[in-house]
Amino acid sequence: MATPSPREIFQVVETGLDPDGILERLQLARLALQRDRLAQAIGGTPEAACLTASYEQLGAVHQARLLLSADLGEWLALWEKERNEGVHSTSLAQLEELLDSERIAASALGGMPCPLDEAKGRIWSPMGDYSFLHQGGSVEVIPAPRIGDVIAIDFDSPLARSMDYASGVLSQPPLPLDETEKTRAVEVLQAGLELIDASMPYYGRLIREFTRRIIVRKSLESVSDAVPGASIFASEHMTRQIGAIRMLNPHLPEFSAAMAAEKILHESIHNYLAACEYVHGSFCHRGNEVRPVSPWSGNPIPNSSFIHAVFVYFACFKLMEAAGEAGLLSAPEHDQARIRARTLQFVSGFLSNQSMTDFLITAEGVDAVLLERLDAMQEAIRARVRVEEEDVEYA
Amino acid sequence: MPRPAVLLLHSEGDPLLKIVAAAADGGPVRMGLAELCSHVHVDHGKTLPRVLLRESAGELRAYGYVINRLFDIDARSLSAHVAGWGNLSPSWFHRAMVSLWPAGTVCYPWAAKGASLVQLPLPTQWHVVARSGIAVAVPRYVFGFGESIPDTSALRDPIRKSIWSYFSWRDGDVIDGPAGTRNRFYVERPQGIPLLGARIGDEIVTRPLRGERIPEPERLRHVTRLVSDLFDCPLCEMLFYYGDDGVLTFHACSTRLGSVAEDASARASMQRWLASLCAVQAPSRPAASRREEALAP
Repeated sequence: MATPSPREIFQVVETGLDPDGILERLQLARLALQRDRLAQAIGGTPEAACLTASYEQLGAVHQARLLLSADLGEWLALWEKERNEGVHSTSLAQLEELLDSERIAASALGGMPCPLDEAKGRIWSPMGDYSFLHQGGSVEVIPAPRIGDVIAIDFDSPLARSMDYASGVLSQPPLPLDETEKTRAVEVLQAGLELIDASMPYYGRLIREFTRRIIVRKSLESVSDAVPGASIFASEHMTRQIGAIRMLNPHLPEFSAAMAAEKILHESIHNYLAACEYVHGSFCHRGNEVRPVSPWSGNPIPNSSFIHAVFVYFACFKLMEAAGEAGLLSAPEHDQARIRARTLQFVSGFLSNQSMTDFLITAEGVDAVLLERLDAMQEAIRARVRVEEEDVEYA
Repeated sequence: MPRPAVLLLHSEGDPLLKIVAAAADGGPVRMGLAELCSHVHVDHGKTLPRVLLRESAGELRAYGYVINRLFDIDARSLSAHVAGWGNLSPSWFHRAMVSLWPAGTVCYPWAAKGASLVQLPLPTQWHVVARSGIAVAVPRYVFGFGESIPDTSALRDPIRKSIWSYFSWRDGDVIDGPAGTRNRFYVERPQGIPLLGARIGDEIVTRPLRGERIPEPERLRHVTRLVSDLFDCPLCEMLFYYGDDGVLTFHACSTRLGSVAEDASARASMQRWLASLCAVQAPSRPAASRREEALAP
């Protein structure tokens, strides 16, 4: 199966269609590369033979699960970075733990005797979709709730409970969620995904392929607890944590299905483009020092973020437009004014006098196909607006 | 038949008001945001709003040169003036206004802050100038991404700044909001003699900001003209520093015009420029095409 070209990869976002199995082909290309990177990380170390044997024992399905997991992505990216910088805080022992965890998953899910030591307590799979607990002689399998059949909602894995001061979501101290709040979060995220499935089915497929884990952080008991200026609802992705996204406070009643849809799509497009960069190289080969100003937020952002933003907001607009035209947003539970304002916000960034490539300021080192598609998306939005304005009339 | 210029004002505190003559004395017609908004009606449509002109807007199309000072519009000002538009974003507003002046004879471009060449943050201005080939230096700086504190050791005497404060170069200026802790920006403290170069229409006005003398005045005038052409900005003021070593460094280009507001020669230049604009029968070449030429590699 041939690796899809960047043009094909971008086309799925632009058209909302995937007749040539581009999504699957990109994932397979990434899988193969991740496998090679893992082999390189292990190779030449004294533990190589042992780790390789553990990996091979997993079998194809569980190898793929491991390779496409956020936990392994995190470990591998940090391991490689530290080797380059001569720092050594990641260890092969951590990799061994990941291999063990997936081995436990393979046995427990396969109904086979499971090598889980009771003393280890609760163990999570590297994908965060199952945890396992050895209790009274048997291993209990605890599946995470899912949306869209395949996307795990992760409330309490070690990654979900971690603090990361560089993260907008994971820098907020975690509060425990009760069962009602967990159920509410899962239901609204499911409703958001259903909205996407009904409006843009291939975006739904893209999401399922490139987002397999939604980490939920609760930082507020209610909206009124929020400090002025602080985020109430936020979403985030971290490139090295493959297939994962983070959501802040989706348990709150004010978090709507439309907001869930927008955020799930937004972060999944980031994950999708990250997979493209993984396979084809970073969009910006030069430094990110000269920052364009985002026409959406007015903030200075690195070139690479700007490029992502163009695709993200294009996709969000297409989603809202499709959902609106299919009559999916007319029910009373949808806040029409808010949805209209958001749609306008998505469109607005495309409507300045400058072309998208002019915004980049440093277009050097950016692939010509990519530059062409950025301007093409802008033109598509402008044409859409122009059609609306063609019959300019007097009120 | 001469077409009057119109000055779109954000507020009565705009320094440009001190440079242009009042309408009664032959200056441009003035219009505030509220009046401008009264000429349009927004129909929210199916997905996207539609801008509908009121009958009164017809005469707006007869205006010639538009001096648009509404680039600092924020969502709050809009909603205060524009009832019934809902949550209109400033970017959308600028776009909607384009249809009122189809000839495109606008100074400055219709775009929200940072979205056009004339309203760029400092490091982006320096980048545009540095790659233009104009013989002027630009400051050295570093950025911290997110919450990180960047390594400033390569900078001589670094000060922390906001990327949007063009003419304020004191260390310790308060940086509010998210910019306070994110994307920290450090630049070398300016050295030498501060100089002002302003472009008023076709003419250049210069002034030393400290002391009496401008070193190499013709060079300053020349560089001011080149940089204002580069930013496609016929009304702007620029801060330069002339170092002990004779190096001229471009520090900022601002559309605010606060430094030339009291300048008699600026007023005279403005008067001559407006007279020349209003004398044309057809719209002048749109600003956008001049900018494309300037950016060509």
